[in-house]
Amino acid sequence: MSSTFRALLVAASVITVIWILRQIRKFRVKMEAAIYWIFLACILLFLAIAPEFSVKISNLLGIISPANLIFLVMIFLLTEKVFTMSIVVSQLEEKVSVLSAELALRTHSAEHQLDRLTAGEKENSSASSDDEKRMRDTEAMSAKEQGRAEAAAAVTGAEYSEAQAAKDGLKISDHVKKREGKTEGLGATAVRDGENARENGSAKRKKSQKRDSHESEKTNG
Amino acid sequence: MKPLILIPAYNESENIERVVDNIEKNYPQYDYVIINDGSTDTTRKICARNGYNVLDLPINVGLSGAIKSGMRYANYYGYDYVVQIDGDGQHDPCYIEAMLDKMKETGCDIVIGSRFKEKKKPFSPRMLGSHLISASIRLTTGGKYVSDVTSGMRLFNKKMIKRFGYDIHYSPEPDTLAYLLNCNVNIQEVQVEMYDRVAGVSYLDFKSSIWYMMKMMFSIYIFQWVRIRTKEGK
Repeated sequence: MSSTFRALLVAASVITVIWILRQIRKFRVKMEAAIYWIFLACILLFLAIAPEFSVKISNLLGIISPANLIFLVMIFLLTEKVFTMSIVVSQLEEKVSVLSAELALRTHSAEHQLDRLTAGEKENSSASSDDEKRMRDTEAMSAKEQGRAEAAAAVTGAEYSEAQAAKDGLKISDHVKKREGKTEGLGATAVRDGENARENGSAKRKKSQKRDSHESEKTNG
Repeated sequence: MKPLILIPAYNESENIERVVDNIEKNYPQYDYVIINDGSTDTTRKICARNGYNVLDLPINVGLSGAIKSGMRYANYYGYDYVVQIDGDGQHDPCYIEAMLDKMKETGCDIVIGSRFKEKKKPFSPRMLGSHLISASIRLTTGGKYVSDVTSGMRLFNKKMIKRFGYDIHYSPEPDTLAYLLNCNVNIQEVQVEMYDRVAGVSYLDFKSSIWYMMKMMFSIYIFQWVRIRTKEGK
């Protein structure tokens, strides 16, 4: 092996290792995935610095050229990596389809219940304009849905109709009753807090979205 | 000064009722939320039947994903503190007050409910890993000592809520503690007692324990060491 080739190999390995570590440092890779790449980087560095090692092993195994051994090892490692990533991608695709189905199902169920309740209330409601019954879903809703529903309902001293709930066969625990009682007195402030929190949340999200798109611009550019 | 009790739950149908009824009955001053991490057993039905406050994740995202969802919930509804409690009943909510007091008097960012703050950590095979991790953290953070690194009972303040909910790579594992300590985050501990798991199966067996230890060692010595540190201003 000529010395220029050796020097080139070492330089290339060092640059690769530095690049991998930098990407890891910038959070682009999760910790579990980083294990493999740091391992690979170490092997690369080792092979470049001590090529006598690969000569010895290839003589032991009866491989004529040490380069063939290195090709074999690298191809094997890369094949393992690609196959593992195939597995991960398949699982992600499955999770995305389940996520999409569940989201659609829950939105549908919530809208359905909302329609049913408001239809029922329209039949039974009294003339008072302050009376706005609020729907409380005991089936879990995602926080975002809940927040949007709460803010959109424009509560100002909401009352929860227990008779209505009993009719729908929903069971209300003491905890939920207490929460209802709490918001009864602080209806306006609760809505304001919720909207503030939502703005804070969405402002943060917008900020991080801007940061993400900026980052992707950096990598694509 | 609003604390939120965060209860991540994956397939805890046998324990969740006990845990949440205890909180609702004996500690009604605290709000709580159960994070159902896509459980495949009857956890969801049980929570719906009892009218518990649940954040029902559609898929299983793991403990770090569940904590992240809880943190975003807490930030969304304007809570100031988040206390993480296991869904299997190992933690007793009676210590929450002591943890809140500790946070107020020291102004720290995280309080860990530790089994070994005042008691000595035994040198049994089970605790060997914990000793190793504590020593590694002390080595890589310049002497800061955390006695119960795997404790799931933690109290977070507003700054930590934002970090855990909105930045990536924040898992509830000990390597994140090492990283945070290097970011000048103030972590304190209070002595608590924990119960052994009554029902259900813990997610660690022997083989995965070894793998877990290797991952932690790798992370504490290499990954978290190399990570860019966003320092907390004082």
